[in-house]
Amino acid sequence: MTTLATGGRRRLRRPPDAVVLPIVVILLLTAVAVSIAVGPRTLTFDELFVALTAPTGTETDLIVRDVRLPRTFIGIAAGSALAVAGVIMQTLTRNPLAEPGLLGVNAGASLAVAIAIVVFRIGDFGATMWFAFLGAALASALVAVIGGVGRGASIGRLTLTGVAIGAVLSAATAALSLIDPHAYQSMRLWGAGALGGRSLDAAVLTLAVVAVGLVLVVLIAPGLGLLALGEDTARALGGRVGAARLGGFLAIVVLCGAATAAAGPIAFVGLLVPHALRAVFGPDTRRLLVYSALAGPILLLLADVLGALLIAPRSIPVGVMTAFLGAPVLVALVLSRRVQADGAPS
Amino acid sequence: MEILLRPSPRLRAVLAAAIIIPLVLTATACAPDADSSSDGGADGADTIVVDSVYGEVTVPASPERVAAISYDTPWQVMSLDLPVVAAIDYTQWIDGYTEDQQAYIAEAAKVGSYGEVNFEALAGAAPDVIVGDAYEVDEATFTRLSEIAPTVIVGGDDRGDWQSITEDLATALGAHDTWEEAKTSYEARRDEVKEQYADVIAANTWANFSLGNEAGQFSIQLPGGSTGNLIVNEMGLAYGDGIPLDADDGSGYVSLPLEQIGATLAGVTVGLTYENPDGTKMPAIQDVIDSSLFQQLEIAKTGQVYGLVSSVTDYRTAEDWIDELTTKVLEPLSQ
Repeated sequence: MTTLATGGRRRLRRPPDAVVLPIVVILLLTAVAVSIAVGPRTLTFDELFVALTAPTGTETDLIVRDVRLPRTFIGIAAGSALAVAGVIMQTLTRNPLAEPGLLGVNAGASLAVAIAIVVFRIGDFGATMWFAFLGAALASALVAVIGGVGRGASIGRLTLTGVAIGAVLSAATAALSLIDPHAYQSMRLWGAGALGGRSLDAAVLTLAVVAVGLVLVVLIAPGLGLLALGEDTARALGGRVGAARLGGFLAIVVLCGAATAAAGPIAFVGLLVPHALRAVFGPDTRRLLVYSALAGPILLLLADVLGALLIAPRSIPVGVMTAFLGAPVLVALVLSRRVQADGAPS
Repeated sequence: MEILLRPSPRLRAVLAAAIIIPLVLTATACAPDADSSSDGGADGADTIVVDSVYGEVTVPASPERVAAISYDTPWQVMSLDLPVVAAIDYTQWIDGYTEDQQAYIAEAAKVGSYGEVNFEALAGAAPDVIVGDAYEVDEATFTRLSEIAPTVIVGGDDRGDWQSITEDLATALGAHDTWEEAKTSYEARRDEVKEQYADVIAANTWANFSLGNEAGQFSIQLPGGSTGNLIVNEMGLAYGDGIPLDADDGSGYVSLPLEQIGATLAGVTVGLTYENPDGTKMPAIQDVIDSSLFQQLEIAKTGQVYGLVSSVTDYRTAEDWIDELTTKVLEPLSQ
């Protein structure tokens, strides 16, 4: 897709994938390289090369292998997952404000992790990830059932339901963490939204789970593309609306569950990335999914590096950085009138 | 004490910086005059006038119903051999306290949680004086508290200045003699230990570390913190050269990325940290110790990492800490 009429007065030429895709991939590789190379400890190129190719257990090797690589892998996985989940949510709900945080998915995952820590005394990452999946799934289902069905169902009702349930779940999480000071500690460290502090094994597991989620997204992408045109049109064109919805729901649960379990609740990625990409690439859902999977990690990794450098030796959690970066950009997009109520550019 | 919603001393360094920093600025600007004035008390008057962080306050010369509404304050009042009629709610964490401490606050009214005073409950306790810490009580809260009873908010020179904080409390509560007695006992014990283990102290380089503000970080207790003050200023234990002493923002600690732990603790031969009464360490502290970068350190390779249970809030608990340091660290190292 290359052009789109805008207001009937001008036509924007959409950049061709053959040109843009390599550029975005290069940007992602650059972000990955920066994430591994830049940190509180200055490492030379030689040190980095040795640490990545022939580590011997030196301090530099350990910094790269046990700190920076897991951090970068979590950034790639969480960035991709949240951005793609944002596109799917906006498509399924036809709501430009839909994102994992707004529809209670992150809150559900957070509460489930809190329950795992407080009630079941589980601190193992792999186990908390399953809880996060369950929490994300239940919260999504609850929001869908209460806000998305029956008489009077509407996008507005769905959004309000998501906000309300998300608030309740967040309050329950806070209450749980207050019951137990040790849980409070764990939740405090996790809840700020950060890429660090995970082992390489946990990071690889997160990447693997997100990869599974992305494969699912690839399978349902055609259906989502039709759904973006509206349910009636999708049906008329032979689309399997129910299957696309169910697949989208499952993909959201897997992607958000993995991202939230690994990095804590991180806001704005699922909102900002799709909207920014729509402004550039137009409303084609399949295209948005591909570019979101690549651009989400770029945003998250660079935000993380920036947060580590801005007030060094202290650091700003990446969840705070995405809010700082995301909110102004989103406001600018809205003010530029490139975002319509259905999430498509005007 | 420095903890948000968590009373254990081992967390004190890491939880409340966001709340603390603005208050530190206020407290620093309004630090109490060391020379508290008095218009009575000693000569039989019913009230005395004392300086506090938020100005002069007239308080009973011999208060009988003391409300201690900051986290460390009840234990500081306890060190003055005075009872408290109200304190924040410690129920959730009561197991972390000694039997004496538990008994001390057993009958006290619960008047809120850390950083959040329940004014109605506090008024119900009918205190004749309220005491608290400037790092937890801002001026607006002080004003509301003063409507219930005369309120003395103390601060000291920095967050870990328990010497000045307890002296100001003692002055306000008419218990200066008890404070002086505890101070004398502490100083005698401190000097005794410093002399007895001078060789061990001089032969080693020290650090007190804990969990960090975020996952993937660790923290160092600086001389501006309660324990750091005792370690560096009182006991004269030399910190390692890599510890950024100038990084203290008033919170008494600094939280750093884990990848800096090698440079920060370079040359340190004895690492001190916090542990629970049952000998376990908090998971986040244990994560730091278990990390591959920590295990590369000299203190890990030599096994010179020690967890201490005692929490330092006043001269008596400082003496307890020195006793524990002696038993667990100095004595074994002198063998």
